[in-house]
Amino acid sequence: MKKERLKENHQFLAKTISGLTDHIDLFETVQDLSRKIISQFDRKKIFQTFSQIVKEVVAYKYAAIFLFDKTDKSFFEAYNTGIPKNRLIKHLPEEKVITWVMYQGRWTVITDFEDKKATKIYSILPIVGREQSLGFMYIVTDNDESFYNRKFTSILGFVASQTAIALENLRLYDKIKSSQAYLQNMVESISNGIMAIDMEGKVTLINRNTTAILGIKTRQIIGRHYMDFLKGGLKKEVNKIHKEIQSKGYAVESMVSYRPYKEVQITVGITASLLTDQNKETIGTIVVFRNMSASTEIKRLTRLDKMKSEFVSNASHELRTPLSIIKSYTEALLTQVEHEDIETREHFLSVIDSETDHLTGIVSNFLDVSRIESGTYGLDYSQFSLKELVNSVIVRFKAKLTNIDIFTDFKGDTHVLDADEDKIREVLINLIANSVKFSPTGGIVSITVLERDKSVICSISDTGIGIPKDQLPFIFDKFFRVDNSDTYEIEGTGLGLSIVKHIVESHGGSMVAESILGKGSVFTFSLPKKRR
Amino acid sequence: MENEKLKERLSSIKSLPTLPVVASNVIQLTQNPDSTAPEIADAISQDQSLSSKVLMTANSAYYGFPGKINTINYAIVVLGLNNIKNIVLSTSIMERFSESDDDFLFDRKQFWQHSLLCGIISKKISEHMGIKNFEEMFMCGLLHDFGKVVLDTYFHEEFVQALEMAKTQEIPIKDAEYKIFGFNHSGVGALLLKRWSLPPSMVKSVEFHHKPDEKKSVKRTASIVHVADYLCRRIGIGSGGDDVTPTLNKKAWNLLELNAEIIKKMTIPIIQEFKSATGFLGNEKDSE
Repeated sequence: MKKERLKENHQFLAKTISGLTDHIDLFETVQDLSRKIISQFDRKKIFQTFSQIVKEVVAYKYAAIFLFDKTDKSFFEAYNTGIPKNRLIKHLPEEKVITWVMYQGRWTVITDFEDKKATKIYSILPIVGREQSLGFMYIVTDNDESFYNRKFTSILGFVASQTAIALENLRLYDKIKSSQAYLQNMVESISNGIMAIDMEGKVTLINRNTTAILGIKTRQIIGRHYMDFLKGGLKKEVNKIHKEIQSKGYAVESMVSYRPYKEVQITVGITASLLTDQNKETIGTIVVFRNMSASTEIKRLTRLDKMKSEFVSNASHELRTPLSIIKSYTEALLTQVEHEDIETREHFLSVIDSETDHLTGIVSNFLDVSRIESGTYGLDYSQFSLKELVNSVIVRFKAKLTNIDIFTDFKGDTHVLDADEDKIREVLINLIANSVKFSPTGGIVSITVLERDKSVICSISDTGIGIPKDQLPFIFDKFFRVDNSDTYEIEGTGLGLSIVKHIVESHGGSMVAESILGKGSVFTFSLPKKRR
Repeated sequence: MENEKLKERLSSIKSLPTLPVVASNVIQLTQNPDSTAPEIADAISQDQSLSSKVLMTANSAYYGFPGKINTINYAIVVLGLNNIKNIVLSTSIMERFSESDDDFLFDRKQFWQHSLLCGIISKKISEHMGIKNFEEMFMCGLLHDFGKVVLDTYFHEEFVQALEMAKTQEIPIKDAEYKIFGFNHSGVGALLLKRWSLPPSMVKSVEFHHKPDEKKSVKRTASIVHVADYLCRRIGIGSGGDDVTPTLNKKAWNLLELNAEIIKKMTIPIIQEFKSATGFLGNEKDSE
């Protein structure tokens, strides 16, 4: 009796042990397979692998995977192994049964084996993630009541949980991908060039504007060292800024002149900041490139616009003064001056004559500018002596002036030039008139003419109010007038110097202005002796 | 020392309580990973009264399956093997140990209520922690004080002494038991469950439910039972035979990642589930 009981026990133990061994073997296989599920980042592949593994456990006829729709709490078929859709939907259990199974969270057979009418067995394998139910696999098998046991229950539970992890990973992966695309869009839409480099100097991110601004043609930039594809002064400057920021933690914006394409010269502004990770550890540098040329151009246009409106008011004022003098003298001549008072009449007529000259001068300046702009400003070459020209011009000034002295100093002999005499006269008149205009009473204007091998140099200096240093670079610009309370009352169109410079340069000469505020200015031009 | 005393005393019992053969077979079968549903159903069907209890419990509000379960086979595949094992085990034990001597000091009805509540709380905490096998945790909670019934049945007079001592001296029953027996109910319960070949993790969880941080292998499960036992007394349903709320083991509490907020949220579902689970308590009618 006792022996038999022992034998029974032994049999039971042997059976259990072999069952457990099988269990472990199967589990190892499933573990390998499920690793395949987790490593997938494609929903269809996850479901394929999942279905394959489930089929190795329970040899189903059909299986379909349903996922819950978070928004309306319904579920939809996401995958099936080839079952006709209508047939499956017809056999889906009531929703409350599905809800119940999902809550239990384990593989549940919902067909009663003992139901004589049942030809197929339906079961539900819930796919439950960390915090929510994701969906379930609906499994259809033949009526084989022996397929339900603890081994299969635990294996299916494990595979389903791996699938849930894979699905959640996939969701996170998609989320990362879309936020990456979002950031990429942002980086691309910024009008500056942005380039991130790691600690080794290799590029980790670069936007299209960087390659556009810098004219980089290299295709694969990510992963390359910035020293590999940047060129010239830019390469040096980026290197400097990169070193500076990595050692000091900050870098001052620097500018570098750069030629991204043939015949294009731009100014690039470079700034940089440290790139840190979530632990505030430095992981690289972000370099920002700005095309400063564009902003310089805007500045220039704004200034030009301002000058043009100033010009309109200046020009009207300029024209108005001689006109009102002419008008009042003419009126006096017609109504007040006695017919016989020849002396007064001549004086008045000479005033009218000189104001008409003044007016003609202003109008011819306007015409010059418009000719210069339309490109029809031609030169009429002839041989003449600059010395004689200077002397003839200052005679006119000396005749009018009593309170300013004009000195001349000629070095050399001939001072003969091949140039447009009328135009050079205009240059001299303009420059001397300027010097006189901006000199206080008792001031001195001196004119020096030097002779070189191939050129003649003429400087006109004064002891006038001078030009502020910051405005000096612009004085040859059209419509530009030195902005200063001292000059406010002095008339002028702001065209003279721009015409002067144009005349000198169209002769192949050059023009410079030097000035010390409050002390005076020197305008020097040089002209080639021979026509080019 | 404690263990030897315990073994000595227990061996003095001529017929140690055994599980009914059917229940024992079922539990053995459910532990074998290859046992199929029909095999287990056959085993349960050997006992007519057990079969009807299983069906009644399977259809109870506690499991709440939205459909009728007419056969044992179906009960097995719908509820799963762990639940079936739980139903068989708890039904058998409660039948075996429910009769009371009308002893006002140790009210069996109150005792099983306490045990059931502890089982439900253990299960809820396990669910909260994401422990897969929360059904087994229900069993651990249900049987955590099982040793008390054994002591009450087999060493009645001394156990009554212990109960009185706990009452008059206002000490926990386990300390009173120790003073009188030299061991306490957790060891007794564990020893018996081990004899019945219940899973080692369950046995150890019962054994260490008063000192959950002492046994590494069951630290987690013993802590769950420990905290559940503590919460039961705070809720105040049922009785473990003494009135002193045991001190809460801080390490166990911290291990479970619980807080007042979570407990508050859990309380109502726990009470609801308790009401629906009274079917477990033997002769009471299902509340459905």
